[in-house]
Amino acid sequence: MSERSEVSGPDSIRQRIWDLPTRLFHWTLVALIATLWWSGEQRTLGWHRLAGYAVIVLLLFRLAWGFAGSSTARFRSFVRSPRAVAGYVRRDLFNRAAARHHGHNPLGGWSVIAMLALLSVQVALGMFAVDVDGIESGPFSYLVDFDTGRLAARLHHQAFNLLLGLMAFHLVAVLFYLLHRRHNLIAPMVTGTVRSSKGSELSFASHRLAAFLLMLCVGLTWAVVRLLGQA
Amino acid sequence: MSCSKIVLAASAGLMMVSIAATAAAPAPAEAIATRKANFKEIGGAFKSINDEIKSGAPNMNTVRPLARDMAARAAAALKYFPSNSGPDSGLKTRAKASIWANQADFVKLQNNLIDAANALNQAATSGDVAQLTAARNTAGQACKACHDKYREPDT
Repeated sequence: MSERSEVSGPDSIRQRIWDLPTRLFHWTLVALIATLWWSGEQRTLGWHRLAGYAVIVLLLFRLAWGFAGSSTARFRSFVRSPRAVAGYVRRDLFNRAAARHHGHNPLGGWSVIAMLALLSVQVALGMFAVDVDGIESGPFSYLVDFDTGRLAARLHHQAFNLLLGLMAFHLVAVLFYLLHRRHNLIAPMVTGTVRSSKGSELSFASHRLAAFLLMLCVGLTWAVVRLLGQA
Repeated sequence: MSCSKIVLAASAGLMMVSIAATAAAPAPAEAIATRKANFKEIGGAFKSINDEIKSGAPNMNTVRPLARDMAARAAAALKYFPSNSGPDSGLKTRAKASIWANQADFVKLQNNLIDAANALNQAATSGDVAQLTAARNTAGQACKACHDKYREPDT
């Protein structure tokens, strides 16, 4: 029996790459950002604040999951050196035959970091923002004066445009992989699996751990906003 | 009278004339600067009052001077909108040209602010938290009503 006959053909193995918590994180974040954009535009700040707190929970969870989660979610697995990124761009990015990464590729990893970082800045600015009517504000705006709160609000507004830029870049990259590389990245973010010719050694963290960490993040966010903030 | 004294008297006279002219029709730049400063003070005072209310146990000794200041500044606000101080002046302002096209409506909204600020001031004097909170909401709506209509949104 040759090695090849062990599998019934190319791409025959269903390889699990994204765990459920990571996928839920991704799609919940999409829904929350849409909600935040809408409620911000409509100035329904009650909803805006709630959705913002939910984003804090997600960011905290993702941070924890980046250390304690499944292989593909761990920062150690996808935050690569500039040299690795340069190598990927040179050899693989435009090469349809290049090996597919199970998880983030070296360039995509940094795009994830950029989005998480900008989103964190965005949330932090929102915490101190004050609206022009002086009536709606982030829970920590009581710590700053009116001018500083207004500055935070303006930066909050501008950072959202940066965020839109990064998200547009993310979508263009996904489309590039789909159309040019013939590599569908969207389906695995929904189903969690890819068809692969060979399995790879990935480890997956338990859902119980994810639920525990999520509860912890909810508790921490609640405590900080409720006990230290004033909304 | 020496020559220098004549020059001094003449320049003092000129200064008084120019001050009088300014008082009659404030230069647009000055009007814009003053109204911005005035509204910033109103916004700052209102934010501080709000912070007190949000704390759950507002300190009325903090709130009272702020509410008094707000009422005084709200009463003065209309003075800083001479017709030449809109966006047509070429100066940096978020005040919309429609303020002067719809003077009656704008004045009505400004009067709502004056009423709301006076009510807030009275509530602060009374020391009643529920009354203060209600007056805060009305005042916030007065700010918002005018901003939504007559102020360019921040970018």
